[in-house]
Amino acid sequence: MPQIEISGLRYTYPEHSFQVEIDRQSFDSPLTAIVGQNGAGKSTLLKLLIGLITPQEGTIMINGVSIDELKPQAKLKQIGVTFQDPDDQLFNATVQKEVAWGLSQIESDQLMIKRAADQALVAVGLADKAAENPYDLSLSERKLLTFATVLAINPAIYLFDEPMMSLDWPSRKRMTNIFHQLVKSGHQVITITHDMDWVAAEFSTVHVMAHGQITFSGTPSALFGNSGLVKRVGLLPPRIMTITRALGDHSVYLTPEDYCREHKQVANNLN
Amino acid sequence: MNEPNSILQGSVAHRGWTSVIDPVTKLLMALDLALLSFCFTNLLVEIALVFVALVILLISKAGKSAVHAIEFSSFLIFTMLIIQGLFYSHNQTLLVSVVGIRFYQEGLLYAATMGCRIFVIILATSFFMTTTTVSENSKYLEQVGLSYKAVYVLMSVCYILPEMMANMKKIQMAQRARGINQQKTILEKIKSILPVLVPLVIKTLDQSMERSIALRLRGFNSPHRVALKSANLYRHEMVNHRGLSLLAIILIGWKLWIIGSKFI
Amino acid sequence: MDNRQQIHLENLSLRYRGIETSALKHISVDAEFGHVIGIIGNHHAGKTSLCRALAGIVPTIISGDVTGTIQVGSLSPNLDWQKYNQQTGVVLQNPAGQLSGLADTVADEIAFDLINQGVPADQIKRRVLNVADQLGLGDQLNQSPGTLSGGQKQRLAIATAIVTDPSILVLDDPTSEMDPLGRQHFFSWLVSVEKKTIFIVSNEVDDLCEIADQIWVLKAGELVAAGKPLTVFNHLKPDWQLAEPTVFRLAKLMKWSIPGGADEFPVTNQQLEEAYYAAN
Repeated sequence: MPQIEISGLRYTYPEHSFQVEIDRQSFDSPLTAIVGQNGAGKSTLLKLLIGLITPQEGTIMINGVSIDELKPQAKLKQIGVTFQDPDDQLFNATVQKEVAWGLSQIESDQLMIKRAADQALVAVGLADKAAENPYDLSLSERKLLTFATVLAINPAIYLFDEPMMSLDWPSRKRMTNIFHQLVKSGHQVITITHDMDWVAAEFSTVHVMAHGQITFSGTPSALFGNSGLVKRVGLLPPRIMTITRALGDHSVYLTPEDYCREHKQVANNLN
Repeated sequence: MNEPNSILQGSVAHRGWTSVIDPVTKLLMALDLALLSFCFTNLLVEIALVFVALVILLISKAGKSAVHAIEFSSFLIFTMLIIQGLFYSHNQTLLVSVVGIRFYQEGLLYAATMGCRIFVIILATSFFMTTTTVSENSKYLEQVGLSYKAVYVLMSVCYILPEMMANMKKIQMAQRARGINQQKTILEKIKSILPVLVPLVIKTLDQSMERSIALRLRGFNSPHRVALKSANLYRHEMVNHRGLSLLAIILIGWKLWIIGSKFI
Repeated sequence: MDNRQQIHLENLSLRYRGIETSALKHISVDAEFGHVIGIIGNHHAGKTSLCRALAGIVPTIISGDVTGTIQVGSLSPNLDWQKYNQQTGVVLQNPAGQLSGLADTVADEIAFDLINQGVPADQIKRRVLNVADQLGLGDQLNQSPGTLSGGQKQRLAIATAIVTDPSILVLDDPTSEMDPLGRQHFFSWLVSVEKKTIFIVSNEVDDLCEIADQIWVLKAGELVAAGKPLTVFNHLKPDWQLAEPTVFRLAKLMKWSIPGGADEFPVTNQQLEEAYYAAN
């Protein structure tokens, strides 16, 4: 399992006083969600993790190597990222070329590039649109295309900023499947998200950011079981818990299936 | 930095010399500087004009946003220098050859002159933009009798640059994450302009289209519109307007006379 | 029948210039004026196009062929757009795109629509403060719109749409960039809105079920279902590939059906409670 280690990190924006400060934190779980209110510092942390901005103090190590010692090409092999808005990056004439371009930054074997690009497009379900112009796709499809550009490179660690934003339901299911496949093949996936239902249902670890700091790290059950903390950091529990609380049940449930399992169990024990 | 000029405030406090010059005077100053640079073809004069515009901008304490504007226009001008240096139709004298790519003197000289002109325009409009706020400008222009539609068109031309800069920052970030900052040779650097330029153009066009839809929906050309009064106090408005307009007319006349005399 | 108190779409089709396939195909549906209508569907379903037709953006601003009838109460975007538009507040998909760009502050941005309508200055201030308060922007009034977060920009866009007190609201995915609390505030605010006809496109099916009187389901430009949330979600077809509300998923798993026999499962919290106590 690839690993990110942060120590003594401090970053202050030059133009305003907002500061991200993380004393000691490791990212070593296969599927990690970073949650928090708008303006909590999630996107800043993501930029720090890929070395797009340099902290005033502290270090970030990826698999034992400091991020600023990594050569650009080696960094691309270690960490791949997609941002919120797909229109910040698409520029090639066709969907196929868009995916191949990213890969050509680290790979020169044309045959390999083509094969990896085709595979990535199949994975996100855009294989039949390979010859189209990226800007003729729907927003949901453009977002999937940006995922394909990273999948083709196949880095050890994947970072996503709000991957579910502007995805429709089938695309969400597809992306969730891709996440699990990546984890199975030994990759690490870290994602920023506002979707608590998704976090509760799919993730093994969640970090909560508030005011530029990581104020909680643990499992979704531990987070959502602590309703005082959830409230304090400006989050909401998953919907299933709002529903079951209204029914007078204050246990932690992550999904409707979770509740069902628990209660069928109880029913069986009673018999 | 300027204080916000808002409907919630009564009047605006005095904020240094730039705040007593009204927006139209500033616009005319920018126009005159631009006209001057188009009347002359001498590179030295152009450089002098760039210098003048730069000094005006600097003593107005324009700050960071102006520096960014200069950075951004340098990027555009650099692109132009390369394209003209390579492809200008009157290219004859080979100046320098970099890894098999030939740059010609005529093209570069032409591009340098054009570049200076663009710089003058950008610096002069930056002065206009950084020393007045959007609200102030649009209120004043509407007050002096411009239709709101005209005000909007003028403002969107002026403010498209900062908007593009904000977009470019995001796009550069996204593309850097995809690995475009590792180019070493000039050819690779030229190639790396495209990944930023294409999304930038598409995004900016998209945004302007969306904005024009939104403005129609929000009734900006409604006949019932009542302009708000600007809360700023200006000095010598009429004198400035007349003097600078006269200069503009003289410069245009002069340029026309020069063009006309070529045919006689 | 008197159509004045009705929302009436008949055989509505929309095709953009230069594109062969229609974005909307023969949509016919009726709803009551003053109701909240949730619009759902996947990409290329025609949600944004329907919003554009309902706001009259096509054909008045973007060129395209719109055929059929759109009647919202006594108004129609195709007959007298100016008059219709004065009664309509619209929030587009991209919140940043609809800010005027001509305002230094959030307050001025909200005031823009009122100035356009020629509202007297003293009233403007009062109405701006009121709307900002409703949408939780009171602390941001003197900030520049450019410094707001995505979620705040969406709230600002909504504020500009409602400040003129329109009787019709067209909201295209207005919470996409909001954090969970922001989204919750928005939907509770929407419940408190009275006497407005609201068309809202959203992926948040749970919230839509709580607030909507009707759900319209679009697929490839066609209206495939329309009705009460309870009815629509109890008759979803698998090939529409739509998300189900959490309440509905839970009730189905636990077999808590609506009391009274129709073998339908609840879609709102209140319905669920009734079903729960009936079953236990």
